[in-house]
Amino acid sequence: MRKYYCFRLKSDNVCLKYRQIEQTGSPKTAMNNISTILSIFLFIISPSRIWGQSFSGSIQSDFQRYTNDNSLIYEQLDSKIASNNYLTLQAQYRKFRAGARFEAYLPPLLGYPLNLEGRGLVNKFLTYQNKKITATVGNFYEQFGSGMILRTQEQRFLGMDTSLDGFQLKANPTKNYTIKLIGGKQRLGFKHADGLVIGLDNDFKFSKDSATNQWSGGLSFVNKNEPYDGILTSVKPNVWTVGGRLNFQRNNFSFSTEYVTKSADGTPANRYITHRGSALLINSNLDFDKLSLALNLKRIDNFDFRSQRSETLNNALLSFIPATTKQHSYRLLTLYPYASQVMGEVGGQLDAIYTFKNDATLSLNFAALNALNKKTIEGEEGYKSSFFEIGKERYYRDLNIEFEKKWSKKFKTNIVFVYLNYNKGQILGTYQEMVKSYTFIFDGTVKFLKKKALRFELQHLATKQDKGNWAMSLVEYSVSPKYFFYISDEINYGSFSFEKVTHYPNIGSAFSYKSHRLSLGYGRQREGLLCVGGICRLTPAYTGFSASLTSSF
Amino acid sequence: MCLCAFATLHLLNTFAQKSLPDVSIKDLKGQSISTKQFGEASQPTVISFWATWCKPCLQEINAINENLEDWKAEKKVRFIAISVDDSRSKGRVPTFVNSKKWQFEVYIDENGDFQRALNVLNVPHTFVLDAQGKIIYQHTSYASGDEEAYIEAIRKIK
Repeated sequence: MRKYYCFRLKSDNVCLKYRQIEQTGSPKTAMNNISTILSIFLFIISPSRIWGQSFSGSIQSDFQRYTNDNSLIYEQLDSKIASNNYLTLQAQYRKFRAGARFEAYLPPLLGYPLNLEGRGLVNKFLTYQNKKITATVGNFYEQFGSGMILRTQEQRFLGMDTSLDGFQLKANPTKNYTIKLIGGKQRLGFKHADGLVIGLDNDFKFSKDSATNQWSGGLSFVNKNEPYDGILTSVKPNVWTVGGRLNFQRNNFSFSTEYVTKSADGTPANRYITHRGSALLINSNLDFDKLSLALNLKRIDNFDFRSQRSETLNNALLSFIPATTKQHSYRLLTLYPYASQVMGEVGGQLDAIYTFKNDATLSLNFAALNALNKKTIEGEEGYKSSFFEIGKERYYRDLNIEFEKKWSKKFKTNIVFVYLNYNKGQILGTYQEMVKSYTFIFDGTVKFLKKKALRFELQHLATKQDKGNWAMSLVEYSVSPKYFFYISDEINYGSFSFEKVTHYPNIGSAFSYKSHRLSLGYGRQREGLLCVGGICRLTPAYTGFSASLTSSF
Repeated sequence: MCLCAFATLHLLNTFAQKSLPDVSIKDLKGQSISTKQFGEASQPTVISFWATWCKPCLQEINAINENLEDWKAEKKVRFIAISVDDSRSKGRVPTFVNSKKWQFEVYIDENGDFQRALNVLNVPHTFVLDAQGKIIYQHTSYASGDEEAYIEAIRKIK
């Protein structure tokens, strides 16, 4: 039976719906799965002692227990316990490497994708490798160029795994030439996506190692074949993408660019139009003694490339469009992260870092992204957009300044100021609103003894839009190399009135031993967007206990 | 239960990965190199996985960097930093290296091939290799002072 539940902040009028896991499989199936993984484990371990081969793996288990909370509304929350579990095993024997991963979502943590219901053996592979050739059958991860034309990846925090299941062949016929040939179907939950993907990538190095001017480049082709028996003429079973890239480097200057284009591909996401897709990325770096500069520019036009056209979010994604904005890691700055707008965007960022003599660094970053200038036309093509025109609609502005200084061996500070314009309607797909915010952060670390340190953060975000102002304080205490404790509180309050204040307190601890780590936490989490690269997942608000165990061996 | 957990940890350590896998990653000029050579330098090596957006990673690298001259003088330690930044942020890697005047080797593992082969789940994650390229210590996360454990592991090599 499938159940739905819904939860929201009392003050919020947006209600997010998540589906509660359906209990797939009986205890018997679970036992079968456990015995499968145990047999693989034993199979790998036993010969490893005999032949002296290399064996390795990892375990990750994330557990949450949700409690009732009067400030948050849970409706029909069926299971108060959820956990995501991953066990990976790999073995190397001479020129062969094999591995598999067992995943169990019992049920998945709040906010994880719906298609991860259940458990199963995934990412099984066998690789043969010698000096010239690497050949894999089974699941593999691949990236052509910057990944805009093809990038299959695992982002566990996003519940995303787009690995291809098929074959991968990499060869280096000469020192300056690499060729890759791939084919297969993408992982989609515990099944495969419908489309068959074939790809070819060529990577060339044009210059000798000793040359001052270093030139390199590449050419890629990717084809997706997904059957279609409907009546829409804009939907094409065969979709082609072609990409070219060029890199140049001379002393302290580097420049790289990549352009990819996609044939007509009518999908629900682009409302079944045949407008050709394209994506352009330009990166450049210039370094001086004390100053480093980086510039990124991009233009994306109807470039949502998936191996199953009906899919949304991070499912069956073939293309990876990087967000050309700074990836913020301070908590309040993760309230408004930018996600690449694959249907159309144009913009870029400038990054500058200046190092002073006395252990101080000043970083400046400015990012701006706007809509494309689209002119709607009649017919299947949908719209026209001039390459050099920038649309009027503002998607994102981010001006941030960071000053880091080490005052002594024992005391260090980091001060951050951020001015942000965030088109919430466009980026989150909710109601239209441009959020303008000012954030100030103070981060200090005091080192007492050789192995004991205290770190504290004060953050404040001021905005008149969305949910109003936020403030946060955090204290961390660590005893190297094993213990770590933290206590924090985030508060959300209206326009400088403390009448309606929502607290998000958290307390937790972690214990590390070599490559094993156990962390425990209790508190109330706010709703937020968790992003990696330029792809994001919405994490819902909850109150409860969480535990996480990670171990590599 | 605790006893069981520690028994498992002990078992895992007994069978743990002992040498580096051979994966292709890129240097800052975009040239591919094989990770196998990291274990073939006949000197103790510290390999740290990091990212430009990861604050604890940067604290760790800076702390290692401050001690590196002493470690080199004492045990000829080689230090390698592997960035896991993808095409969103990898442009910031050379900017960091230049502005912080890092004098050690830095490589980019853009789609996580090396990270996966070494079962790295989160950054920072650091490996210590002996002169024969055998992994003798690994540690995940960073707290101020953790770098001491790396040189201590190297000092214990007979």
